[in-house]
Amino acid sequence: MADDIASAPQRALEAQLNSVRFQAGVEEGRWKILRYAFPMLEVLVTARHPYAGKSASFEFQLLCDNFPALGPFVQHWDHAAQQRPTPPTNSSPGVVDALKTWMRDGSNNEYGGIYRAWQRHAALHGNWAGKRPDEAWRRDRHITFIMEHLYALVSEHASWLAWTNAA
Amino acid sequence: MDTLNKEKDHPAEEVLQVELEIEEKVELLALPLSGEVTLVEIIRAKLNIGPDFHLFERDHDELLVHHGHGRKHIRVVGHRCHRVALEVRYEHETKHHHFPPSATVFRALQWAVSKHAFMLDPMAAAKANLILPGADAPLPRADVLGKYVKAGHCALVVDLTLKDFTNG
Repeated sequence: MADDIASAPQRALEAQLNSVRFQAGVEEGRWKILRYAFPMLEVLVTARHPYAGKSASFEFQLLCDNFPALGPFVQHWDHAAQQRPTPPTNSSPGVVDALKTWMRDGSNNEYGGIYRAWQRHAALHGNWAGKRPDEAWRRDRHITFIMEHLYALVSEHASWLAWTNAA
Repeated sequence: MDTLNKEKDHPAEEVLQVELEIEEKVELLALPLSGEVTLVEIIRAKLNIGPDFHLFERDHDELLVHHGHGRKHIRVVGHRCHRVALEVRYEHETKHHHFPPSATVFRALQWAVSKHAFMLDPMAAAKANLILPGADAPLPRADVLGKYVKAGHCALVVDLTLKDFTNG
């Protein structure tokens, strides 16, 4: 019965989670669903840098209410502790910047999520989405658009690990 | 019981869900697999794709032969080129590498910033993008290189840029 009363956003998200492009990423080991209870999705993303020979994993939480009209709110997440971990300092400048603590515009000191143009609140910050339409969420995007960006972020961390190990 | 017996006599057919990207079109296929016919043969027959197209698993180096064990979903790229000769220009240097047309822009970027090419430090690498010469926006990282190869060519020239595109 629960399926019968699923909202349109829930049905849209679940159709994409069951799609070939999302499931292929699961089968390739790029990402894995840790917990799903619409509109909340928790994932483990594992990236291997092909030229650095290092791999790394991060967990993320996506809030997908009003999907796909509204892009997901995405934050770095500790699935076991059910909270956002302390922002990393031992990573590449790009990863540290993306996962930093910042407060979203017009909020009462609320954390804004991953600081990237494709993330719900960061997109509005300084008209970031308008300046980088190639990185901005649109309602015709697929959830794997977000997953690929998360994969790139984790891959950047893997590259940084290899760089620091080699130094 | 009847169902069980039928399955015993004729095991349920394995179905592979395929997303095929070919010449700017995306086809979704549900393909029954048997042990005797390869995935490539099934795709070629289903879509009438001749030998002038090469089939790759997306972002994998080798030609697609058969899906891996346990796979139920696979993304496939069909392209006329077997390899794309990528030329990346940065400052006054040019580096070359051959990628399958199914390699993503992101993977080419990873190579370009790595020790195998321009060896950028993490600070510079975080800002790096690949861009077509004269374009005003970087190539989308999730796109495959084959998408940007001109018809009749198996080569692609891009610039590596550290420009901050949010500042115009």
